[in-house]
Amino acid sequence: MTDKPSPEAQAAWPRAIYAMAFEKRHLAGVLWYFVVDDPFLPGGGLFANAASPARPVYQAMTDVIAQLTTAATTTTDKQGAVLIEGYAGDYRVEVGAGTARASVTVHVTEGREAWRVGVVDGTTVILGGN
Amino acid sequence: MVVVVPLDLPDVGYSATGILDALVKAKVEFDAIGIEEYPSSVEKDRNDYPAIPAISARLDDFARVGKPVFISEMG
Repeated sequence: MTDKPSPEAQAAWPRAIYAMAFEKRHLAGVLWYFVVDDPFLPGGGLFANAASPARPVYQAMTDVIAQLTTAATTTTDKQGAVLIEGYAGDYRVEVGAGTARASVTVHVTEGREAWRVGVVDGTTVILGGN
Repeated sequence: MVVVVPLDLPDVGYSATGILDALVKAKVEFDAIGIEEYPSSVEKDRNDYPAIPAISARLDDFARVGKPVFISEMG
């Protein structure tokens, strides 16, 4: 490189690469490597150092993760069932009826049913990123 | 996991896909392929970052080995 990419260009890159990557069945993961700058790649971190403000790329990564995470709140039907379809990943599921509450962490694997439980009609089910 | 730097260095006879082909031919066992994508490693876009079409083509090229591919480093 002749010049270091601008912070804005740096932020645009993960958005583009994750959008491309999401369409590739054989691509199993994408990792932004440097949390803080490293001499190997000055300016390549999400932060310049541990005390510095986040660069725009940090917000870009946060946005990408949020876009690829499903959030939903719904209520079980007469059979006590609910179906939520979403992205793979780790999730927190909260189930509540009246004053009773329960929370469980589930991992959703792409293409597979993740979690099934029988609860009563009218139970609130909340799905959120873990 | 086999991690490769994806840029080709013809002056020293290094080719990323050539290395993978050689590993497969030698029946070396590995479960996945990791590639490192940094601004210095591929064709650039107008912002001087690795060009997405070039990365996309290369991911497809590595996938022909039949193993999951990770971008194990980018930045």
